[in-house]
Amino acid sequence: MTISTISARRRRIPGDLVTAVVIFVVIYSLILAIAPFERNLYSFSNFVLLLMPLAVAVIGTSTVLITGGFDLSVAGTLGLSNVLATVLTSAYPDMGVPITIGILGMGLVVGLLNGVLIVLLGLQAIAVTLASYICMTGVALILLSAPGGSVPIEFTSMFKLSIGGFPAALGALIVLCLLWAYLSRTRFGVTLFSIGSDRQAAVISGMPVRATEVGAYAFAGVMYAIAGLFLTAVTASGDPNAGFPFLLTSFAAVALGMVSFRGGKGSAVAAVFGAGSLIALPKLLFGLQIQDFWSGAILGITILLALSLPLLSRVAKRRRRPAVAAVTDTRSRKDLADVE
Amino acid sequence: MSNNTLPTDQTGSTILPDPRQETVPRRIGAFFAQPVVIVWMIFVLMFPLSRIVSPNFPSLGQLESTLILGLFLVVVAFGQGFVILTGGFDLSVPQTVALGAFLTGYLANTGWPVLGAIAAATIGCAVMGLINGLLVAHAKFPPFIVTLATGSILGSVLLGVSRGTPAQPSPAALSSLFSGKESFLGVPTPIWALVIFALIAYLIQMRSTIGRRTYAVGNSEIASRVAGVPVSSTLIIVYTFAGISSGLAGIMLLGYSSGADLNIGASWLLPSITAVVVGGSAIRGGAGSYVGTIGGALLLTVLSIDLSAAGASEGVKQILYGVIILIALIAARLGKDTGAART
Repeated sequence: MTISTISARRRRIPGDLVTAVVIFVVIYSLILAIAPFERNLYSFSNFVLLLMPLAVAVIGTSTVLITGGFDLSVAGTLGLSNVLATVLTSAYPDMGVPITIGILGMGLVVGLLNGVLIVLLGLQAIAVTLASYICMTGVALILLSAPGGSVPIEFTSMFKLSIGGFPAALGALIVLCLLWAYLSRTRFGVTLFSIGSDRQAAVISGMPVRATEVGAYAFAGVMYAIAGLFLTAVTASGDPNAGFPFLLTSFAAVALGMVSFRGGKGSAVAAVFGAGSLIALPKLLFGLQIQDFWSGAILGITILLALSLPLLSRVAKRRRRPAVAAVTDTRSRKDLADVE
Repeated sequence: MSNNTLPTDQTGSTILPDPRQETVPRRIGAFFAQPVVIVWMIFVLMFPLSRIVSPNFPSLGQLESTLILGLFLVVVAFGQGFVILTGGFDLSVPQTVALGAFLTGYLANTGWPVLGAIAAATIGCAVMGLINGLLVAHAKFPPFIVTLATGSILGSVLLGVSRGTPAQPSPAALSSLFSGKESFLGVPTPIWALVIFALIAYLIQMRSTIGRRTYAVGNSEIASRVAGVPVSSTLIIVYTFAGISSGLAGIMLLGYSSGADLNIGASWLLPSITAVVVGGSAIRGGAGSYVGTIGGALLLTVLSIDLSAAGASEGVKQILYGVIILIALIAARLGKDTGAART
């Protein structure tokens, strides 16, 4: 059972990942083609820094989505992390590292709370995370009633470090992606996917379903906190409502990353590329001299197109070889029987 | 019920009444365990409790302003709740509210009769809902992301078309109707609007064929299909209703605030979901009642009036909102558990 799930997943992921990468590469190469001023390391470095908050956040969002859950607390944790970082670093400019660790702890605690409420009390994920999002916005508003504050340069430069022109943030993102790719192959990861595709079956086969689900929310919470720190580095100020745009963009990015909204399928690495496409899109429109306010429309259309890609490929496949699909189907069933 | 009032056997353990026997206290208990009843009880209790924040409360004026301000949430939450009943979500609420308000104001200012402008705006919002419904029902895209995308498109089209023109002023007739200054039979007109809308919406959701079908689809799409429920057309109609209710809320808001900019709908998305959840609906669909949603909407409104009167900061308000959602969720959960134990 487990073995067939893994092999089935290994076969599936590359397709999603390839699509997400292709969408991103197309958009970014179009930018490079039409905008000469983007063709340098400095612009690329800026792009990476701009991308970081969303890219890290969607690693969390997609991990929860894979379990078949839903996490709206991304906006709350991200905003609170941003406000905490601003308020604390301006009060204690020398405590950058402890503050960073504290904020990561905050993300972990919020994620754990979400997970416990959802898994142990059996409450609905979307409603619980909506409530925790609203609560955290409240806390952020109490700490900082209006956008503003100033973040010491020592703190922002910690996240904007560049090595030989290359942003260290890119390295951090790659490390996070590798970490996720590794995690998805561990027992934890396999359980994640199994919960999403068939919770009952995962419970019956003795997987640590509850612990893994709580773990997914906790992991996501830490990711949102990191995203908030990178946002603070980019904006160098705090905004109690800073998280709100991420409520929608993180799900848009996940859709562009071809992660299934029904659970059991997808890859956080693909979602990171989805985030890349989302951040690159306005740059492309700027390069094409399309007015700013149309970017929402283009974004919406891109999401709908990305959604219809699997649909189109399924239709094409069904037309081309209906027999082959049936054969693989029986074979996988035989695999399953063999393992059992 | 305390333990010593129950009969005990020789070993001292309580003899429980036969669960099949429907006793009166049992029935009363079941009645009060319903989320809808709990919400309305809390709502009614809020009025005497309001005295804590202000010696002028409770008053008739407080009730009046709750109902007037609650109108918009009651209207938006109908569409949101109807969609949630099918297991979906409508994230295009803010932009559809803005479309309703903008179109009405724009057309009325270019010389259309007010009723014509309202009708055109309502149809425009219905089309928006229809598009959502078609994408959800036929393309089988997840509603969450479909409405996110269509909302994003609509918002940007509105921005593009209006070219950042300043806020649309409201036609005078609409303003006088929804500002709450006019009364009919001693009751402010927005409250009449609230009663009429709530009644129609109640009949649609709870008493009509489409309402029944919506519950069926929300419970199990496959079972509904097997049972011969036209799933696709039900979904399309539900999303169209959602578009219409957002549009009507936009038109009413335009009248209430005597003008509208494109951000008019932005603050209604989360409250619309909150009202539905607090009203005891299952967020995965299939269960809930519009009566509960109205209770949830009015409860949130009176709460926000009280908090403002108490001078609470926005932050405290938000935290309380979040906590109330959590309490409602846990209460609904416990109510369901006791209900399950009972049957």
